[in-house]
Amino acid sequence: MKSRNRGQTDLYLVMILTAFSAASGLLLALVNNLTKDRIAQVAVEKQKKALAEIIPEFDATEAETLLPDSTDPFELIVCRKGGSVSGVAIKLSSRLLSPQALQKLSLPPDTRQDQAYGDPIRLMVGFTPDRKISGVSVLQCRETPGLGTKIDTPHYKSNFAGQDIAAKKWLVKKDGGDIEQITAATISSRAMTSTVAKAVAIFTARATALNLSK
Amino acid sequence: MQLDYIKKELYRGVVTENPIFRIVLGMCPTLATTTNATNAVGMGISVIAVLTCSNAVISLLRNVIPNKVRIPAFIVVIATFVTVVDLLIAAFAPPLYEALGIFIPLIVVNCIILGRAEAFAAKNPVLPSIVDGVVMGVGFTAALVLIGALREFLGAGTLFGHAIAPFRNEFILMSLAPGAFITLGLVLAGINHLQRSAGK
Amino acid sequence: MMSHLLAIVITSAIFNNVILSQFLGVCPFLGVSKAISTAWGMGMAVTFVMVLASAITFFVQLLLVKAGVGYLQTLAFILVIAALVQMVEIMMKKLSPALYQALGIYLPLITTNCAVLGIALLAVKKNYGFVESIVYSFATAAGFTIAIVIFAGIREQMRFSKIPEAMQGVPIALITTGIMALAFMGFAGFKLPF
Repeated sequence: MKSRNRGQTDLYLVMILTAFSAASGLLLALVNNLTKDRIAQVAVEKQKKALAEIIPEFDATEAETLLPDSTDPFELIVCRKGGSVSGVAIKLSSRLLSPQALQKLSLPPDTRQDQAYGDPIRLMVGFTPDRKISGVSVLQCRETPGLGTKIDTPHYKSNFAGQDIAAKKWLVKKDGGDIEQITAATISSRAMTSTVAKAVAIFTARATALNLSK
Repeated sequence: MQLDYIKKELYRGVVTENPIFRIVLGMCPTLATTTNATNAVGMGISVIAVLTCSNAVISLLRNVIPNKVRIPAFIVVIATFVTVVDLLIAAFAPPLYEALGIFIPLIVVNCIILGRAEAFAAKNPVLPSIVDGVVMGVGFTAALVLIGALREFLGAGTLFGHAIAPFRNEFILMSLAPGAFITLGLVLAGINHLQRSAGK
Repeated sequence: MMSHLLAIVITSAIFNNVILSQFLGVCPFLGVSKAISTAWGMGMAVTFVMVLASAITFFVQLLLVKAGVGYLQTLAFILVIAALVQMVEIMMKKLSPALYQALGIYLPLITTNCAVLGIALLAVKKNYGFVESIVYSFATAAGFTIAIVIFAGIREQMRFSKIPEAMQGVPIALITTGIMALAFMGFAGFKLPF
């Protein structure tokens, strides 16, 4: 390393570091520019894939943000085929909602909120106009590998998919409901169930506004 | 000559001076990203990329960086490459991006990278620095994959996602935090033992 | 609000312990835990730096987002943390030589410590506000201190045990940590009454 002591005024040092930072900033701005479209595309594709998994048929979608957030927005996506509503998808998570947020979603202030073991579980719950859950897509699950991660299996999701929303008590059996819980993963099961329950409540509140049959 | 040099260097990075098993640096990513072998490989490759590029640049600029501010300068270089790798993974390997999470930006504080910059790249020409970066990165990756494979096999009965245990094999503890510590400890003990008996 | 903050405290300090659950800060944990007194020192130093770093990076993040350069987060954060630690070291030397004697040597170790940067990044990821970030970082550092002091206590006792040659040093430390992590896992499933 160069260590001439004469030319090493503090100003010189600061200038060198600034030059470094500037060069770094430029390089990063360049790479960011090159990748940002692709990154945005990845997010869009992920959403499309999740929707396709749970809504049977659609050719147009309208998304409405229910709860804005930089990382975890709640959204209501109306899917249409040939003009009429073919399904509604609600994107939400198990994160704790404040009383104001609950109110915004037209949910009662005493809505049960079970949190996940790790980061919030993010789901997309699909509903069809006949008031059935058409499917549940797990967007993010950071639960215990091998235990809580079992909520993202077709077997567990069958607890929800295809069910009439009025026909079931959306609680785990331990809490008096109709949904199975995964052995040794009660927390994850509860979090997912109460999140689906929230989605059901949001859908029910909106169903009349959307003019859905029945 | 070239091949011998490469072989010698690889042996150094993977065996004699393995950053994890011999120098014992960079514990955090080793524990966190080795839940399965695939994540381990992903992390390893990211570190190889960052280590090689930062070694190269630091070596190139070693006569320009004043001694007094060398650590901040190194950090700027390393952080730049970490961000580049982060953006590239987010764009082209989203599942890996989600699996590694914050451990990608945390590569910037991985003591191995700063350590090699200080100990080697700052004092050596570019080509040897690049080789050093590669072999140290490969050593790191090898260690990670070893632990990752062990934890994945014991914890889920799979290897790189393919079920290979002939019986149902789910010692879940291995996939969890305690398993990480214990596996690494036992592997290190094993290596120490081998080293001792080899040395005798 | 209070119960929300209290929940953050208990979860970050104990349930999701920074070392035993999240694998952040393992190097200083293993390196500076041979005696309870040094463990305390490290814990205090980490607490100091972590809270300050979280406070400052909170505002740095606001600036980054406003300027639309979110991708500079890693670079900005690590530079801020490095500068912060330098400044803290210099100020400590001048203002409180006694404190510097106790904590000073640990400070450089903390710069390249994944815990400080990790927690700063996580606080942003979890969308915490300013007060929540401070509480979160303080609680996390408290968890670090709890873990490292307990660990140092165990290590002091281990000096009197006959440890196989191959296990001495880092291996036995890691296995002990693993068992501690196992113990802390017992907190899983705790449903906070608020």
